[in-house]
Amino acid sequence: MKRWQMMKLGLILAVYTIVGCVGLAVVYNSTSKTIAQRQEADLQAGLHEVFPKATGFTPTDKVKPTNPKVIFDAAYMANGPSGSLGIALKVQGASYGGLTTLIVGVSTDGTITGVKVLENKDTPGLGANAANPTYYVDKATKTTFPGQFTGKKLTDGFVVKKDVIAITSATITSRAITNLVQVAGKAVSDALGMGGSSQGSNAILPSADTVRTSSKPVTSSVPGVSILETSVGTRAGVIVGASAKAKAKSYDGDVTVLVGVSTDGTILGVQIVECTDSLGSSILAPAFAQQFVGKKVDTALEIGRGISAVSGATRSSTGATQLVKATAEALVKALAGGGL
Amino acid sequence: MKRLFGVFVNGLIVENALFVIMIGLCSAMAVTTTVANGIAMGVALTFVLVMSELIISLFRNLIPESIRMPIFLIVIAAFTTIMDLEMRAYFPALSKSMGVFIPLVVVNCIVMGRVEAFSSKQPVGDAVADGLGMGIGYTWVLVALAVVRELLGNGTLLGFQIMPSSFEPMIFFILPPGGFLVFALWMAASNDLRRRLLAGRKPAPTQDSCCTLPDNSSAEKA
Amino acid sequence: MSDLIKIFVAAFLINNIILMRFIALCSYIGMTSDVGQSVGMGLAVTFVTVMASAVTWPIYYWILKPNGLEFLEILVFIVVIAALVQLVEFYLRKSVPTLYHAMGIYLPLITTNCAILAVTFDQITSNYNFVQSIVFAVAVSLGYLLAMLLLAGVRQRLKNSPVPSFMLDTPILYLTTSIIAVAFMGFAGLIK
Repeated sequence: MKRWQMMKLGLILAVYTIVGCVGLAVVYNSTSKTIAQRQEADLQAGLHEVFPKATGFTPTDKVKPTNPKVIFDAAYMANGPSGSLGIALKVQGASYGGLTTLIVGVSTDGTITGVKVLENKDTPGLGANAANPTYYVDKATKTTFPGQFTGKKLTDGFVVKKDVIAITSATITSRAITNLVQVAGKAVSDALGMGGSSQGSNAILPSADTVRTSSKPVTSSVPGVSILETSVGTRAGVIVGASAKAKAKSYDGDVTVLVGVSTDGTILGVQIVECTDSLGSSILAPAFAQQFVGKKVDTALEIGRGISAVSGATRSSTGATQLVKATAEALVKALAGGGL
Repeated sequence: MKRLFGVFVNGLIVENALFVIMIGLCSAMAVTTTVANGIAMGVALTFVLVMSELIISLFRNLIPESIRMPIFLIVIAAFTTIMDLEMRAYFPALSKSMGVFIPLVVVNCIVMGRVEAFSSKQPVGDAVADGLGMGIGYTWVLVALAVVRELLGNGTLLGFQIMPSSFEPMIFFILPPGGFLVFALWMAASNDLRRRLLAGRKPAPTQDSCCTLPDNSSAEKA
Repeated sequence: MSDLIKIFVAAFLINNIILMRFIALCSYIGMTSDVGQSVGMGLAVTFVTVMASAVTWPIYYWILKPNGLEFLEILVFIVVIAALVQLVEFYLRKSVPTLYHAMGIYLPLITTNCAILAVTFDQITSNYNFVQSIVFAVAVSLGYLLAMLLLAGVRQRLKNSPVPSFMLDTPILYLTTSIIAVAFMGFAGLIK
């Protein structure tokens, strides 16, 4: 009797569950198409917003992920009347209240054509204003927060509260989105063939007329610093300096730098190539690297002594500074040793 | 008809879920940063409440006492999912801005409380009237909270600029502490009014089963 | 590792489930009249939240998602949590009576405690892996416990304080909460 009762109850429960699930499946089927259509429409609208002149978009796999903390959803080649206009990239990355989704458009000349915030879960009225089309960071020109990136060159500074106007009381959101825009923009410009590393050696060894790969690898005595490639700059056949690309762990990611040093131990040029720290990419701004130029390698090269950190990225700045110093020292040593 | 109206008004004011029974508060404060969100949340909850009460009341004789809780949960969860899917399909912006609070309707004490205490024992008409009353009672409180918060915190109402442009929005009201403060003040006002209306008679405290321990030990809830 | 610490700090303090996200408010008000009770409830919630996360995460990623059944998430999660609470209650009553007396009375309240369900949904929307989900669950529920303890402590003092008559009972509790929440806003700077 008791067993029969139990089975009956179980059966009743099963009937309710099945009816419930079937009902949901029906509703899901009818709404899922609408949801998918809406997302597609949102995406298309977003793409057209960042590339208003484009006639169509074709998916492309040219853009390679560069930062493990940023999810590269999809990339679209923007087709114009006469060839490609650039690439729009859909990216996701962490912000204050969860993942934020952006579309970043970069034209073939390395200019950001537009940024569209597709999804943002930050505090309503504060961070969420990033996606608000009537929230202006500059009321005079009616510029929205993502709108201010339009027309910005990727070589420009991306420091929030200096180069980028922050959303009031939402610095974290502003930094997160700026960082996402920069990471995405850089990846696209790399894909479009405007990467900096090949021409970089010239830029950081301005006194040289030819730059060749060194004949001997250079290593650093500082633990954790790995020197990836070394070049030697010559002028009329005489070695004037050397440069190296080096990589090391930083705050919670890696930092990669290019350093050029002259034979007399002066830093000729520095380029921060990459920084995968969370929010660390603000140190990619040329202004930060410029601080090193002209300094002697044996002088103090520390944050707070001669070098100032990029605000909001102190740990990354420290990491990059230590790496620059270690690389420069290794280069000076190698130059003194000869045989490069 | 008059009886149904009584049931409706009961939820609307006399036993208002938020101010009087004080259940279902989470979403009330979380989504009321804008009036639009407040209204949407209110409508969403009213839908789930009315539909669940309707179905439970219809099938109340086919629900064995010992497994009523799982069945209530299934019914409520089903309607919450339906509402969630419809919102995502037709009001994606609202759905996004309310985030996790849409699926959390399923554990909103108002729904479970009314289903358990009312519609599992009452005829269909009463159940629907109760659902509507409770739902609209919840909605108007949400709107009341949201009006204060959006107006002071953003200078707008339903997205339209109300305050003069010289008004500097007091962001505090949009932030969590502001939510607690506005709710405390509204509740103080409502309590004060009730005290006056009841003129000294202390209102019988309404025992809700999902937030506090029951006084007697015969708690057979799950 | 630094990821996990960030998740922990964010969930425990910065986005404190009660003070910053308004979730689980009714037990926050209902169960803090006594410090012992608030601790008991907090621990029971911690226990069930972690267990529920350990169960719902595999269900979502191994059963629902591969079969395209994501739309059953709400239904499955709530039913699983309800069943889990029943099982825990049953097990504790039979096998660990001492723990049951300390925690068991709170279990019936827990099925409808939004904190647990919110945690399991958040883990899915934030794309956390299993380890991150568990760390998140621990952090959120400890944050819940902390907020409960804070209010319970203040309530001890409130009992003997002259409260304006119109603020009596619940309004003064929310006013207090508002002030505690202001203090918690300060944690926002912990993670850059």
